[in-house]
Amino acid sequence: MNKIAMEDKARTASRELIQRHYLELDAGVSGDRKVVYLFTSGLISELFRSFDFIVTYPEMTAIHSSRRNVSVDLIHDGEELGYASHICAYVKCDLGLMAGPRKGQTPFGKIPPPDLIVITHGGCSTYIKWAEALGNEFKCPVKIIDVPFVREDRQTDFDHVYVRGQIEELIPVCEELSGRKFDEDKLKEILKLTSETIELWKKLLEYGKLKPSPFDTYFEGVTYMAPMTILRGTEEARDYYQSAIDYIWHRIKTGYTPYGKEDFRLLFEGTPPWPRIREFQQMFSRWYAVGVTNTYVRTVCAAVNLKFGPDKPFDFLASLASQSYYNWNLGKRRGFMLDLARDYEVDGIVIHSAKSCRPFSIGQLDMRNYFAREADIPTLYLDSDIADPRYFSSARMQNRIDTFFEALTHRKERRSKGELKT
Amino acid sequence: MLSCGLDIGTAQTKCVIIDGNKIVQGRGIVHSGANLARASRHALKEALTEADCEEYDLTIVTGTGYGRAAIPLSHKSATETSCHAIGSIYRYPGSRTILDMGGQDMSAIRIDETGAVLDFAMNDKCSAGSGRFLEALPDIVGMPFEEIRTIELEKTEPLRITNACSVFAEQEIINYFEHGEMVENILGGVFISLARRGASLLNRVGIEDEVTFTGGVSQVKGIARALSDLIEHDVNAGIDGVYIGALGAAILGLKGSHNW
Repeated sequence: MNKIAMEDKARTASRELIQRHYLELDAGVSGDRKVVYLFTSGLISELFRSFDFIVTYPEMTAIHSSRRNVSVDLIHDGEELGYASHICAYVKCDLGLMAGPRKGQTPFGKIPPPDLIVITHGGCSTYIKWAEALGNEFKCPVKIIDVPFVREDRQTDFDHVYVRGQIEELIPVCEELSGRKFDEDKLKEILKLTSETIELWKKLLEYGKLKPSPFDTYFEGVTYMAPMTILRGTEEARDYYQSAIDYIWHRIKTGYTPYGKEDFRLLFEGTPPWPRIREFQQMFSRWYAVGVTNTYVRTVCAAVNLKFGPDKPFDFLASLASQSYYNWNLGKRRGFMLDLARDYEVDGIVIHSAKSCRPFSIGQLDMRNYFAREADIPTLYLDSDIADPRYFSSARMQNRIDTFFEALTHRKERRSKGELKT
Repeated sequence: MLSCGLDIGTAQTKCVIIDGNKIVQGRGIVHSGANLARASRHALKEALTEADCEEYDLTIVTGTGYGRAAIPLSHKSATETSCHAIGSIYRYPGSRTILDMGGQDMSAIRIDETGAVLDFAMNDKCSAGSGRFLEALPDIVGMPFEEIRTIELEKTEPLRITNACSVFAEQEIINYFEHGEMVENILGGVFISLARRGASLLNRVGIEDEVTFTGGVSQVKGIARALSDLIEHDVNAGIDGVYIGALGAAILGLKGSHNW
């Protein structure tokens, strides 16, 4: 196996695209273009791109701040505004940045204030209060698309129509703010790019099924995922994923594996601890454990097959708004994970729970118990946070991870001796 | 052949030396403090004296516990979870579920008949309910640890300690003192409160007989009794529970196959 790390071209390209996004925001808003803030779960950026809005994402800024190790300062600013320690760290990061003394100035550029805030309320109830707080700060309209919780196996037709109607209601709002008439052909073109991008993204993630996997779909995948959020509906995003596939193919042809060899195949659940992600990754890579699949990156358009295409733009948008994994009932989430565990032939599951993200983390302990006891899949439950490094304890984290792999090693040994059936 | 296990915990460093038949030859225990390398040397020295041998007589030294990476003495290392599992199955061969309550961490471990870890759960980042609180207890209640350790739960009328946080629990204890409550009854409440945290963790992995209680906290008779009452299972516990991790490390040292 090739133990020498090759330059990760997909990572470099993704970082350049993120950097460019923030540089463009920093350059200021020219002409009559308006700024819309969108939230990533159930994202429908294409509608706003068709009106030529500048689209940006408070969560992505919080993630980027965390990866640049400035989140704790922003969180302190947020707490000084009165937000308590248990409140979502992304929220405190963002409000600390936008409403605190920094007034939107980050190390990677200045974030312009919003002219419009739109949330797709599906899974994260914090979105509403977060958007309202931003709306109050910047005195701009806040629009909420209410996506009903997926109670059964799939979204009902009634719910689909309900969501589509709400998206259609945004047209006059966008027309008034942007000063442009709605152009359905333009929207269809943008959605066509989205549709192509989604297919490429899904194809990329499928490579995790190979043994060994050519890339870590969790620790590397989170970087590859960024253009899918920030630039969805653009040629750049589509071209990025085509290049990423070409690059991963190069890895496959040269027999490259991310950590030199693959001793364990893992399924990850949950958002990574962004401020300490590199350290977190090393805790697994020292055991040659590869995240061959995960739920987190799949939440971005790769968890379900969308029922509609660009030819029915509002149905397509409603499907995009409604596909959020965070909005699924626990049984559906569990079933999805079981399918992934089987399809990707994993040795174990790692659940990273976030202290400050209750809406998503609730139920993860039940999941752990189910997988470990009922499904007989070794499952590790870890908790720290998505953006607040104060919750990350290296020694404790390492200890839990080492214990997990010691047990997995023993299990593998017994299996190879024929003492275990599965 | 002599195998040495060193368990460098956040509160105490324990050392056990065994011979090739797994018979304990010597033991040592010291406070870990800030210098873990020095603590491990001191614990080793105690154990070597008791075993009446020299360091060069040791065939292998296996480290475990939080400080395992910090000791230059060890030839190999493993987590305390694996070591408590191996130590427990040796000390109490019927063990299938283990609760290890140490200085900072608490683990519930489910094992098979070979001592292999099947499942485990640990407390979150907060150390409330672990040995750290117990360390502070003698100063709070004005009673030496040796005396606290031997108090029998059934001879107390336990008061309710509701706070999960050690700092607030301390305040609650002080309030009880202000109301003239007896120290034994307050401690009875503390034992139940600590045992409840352990029981909740055990339930998370599923309880299967026999249940073995290890780690420094397991020496406290009142907590072991409260735990047994709460989970409605007999609990193996004893004064040597604090050494189980080091014993497991020493046994692991005898096994060539597990190169953890």
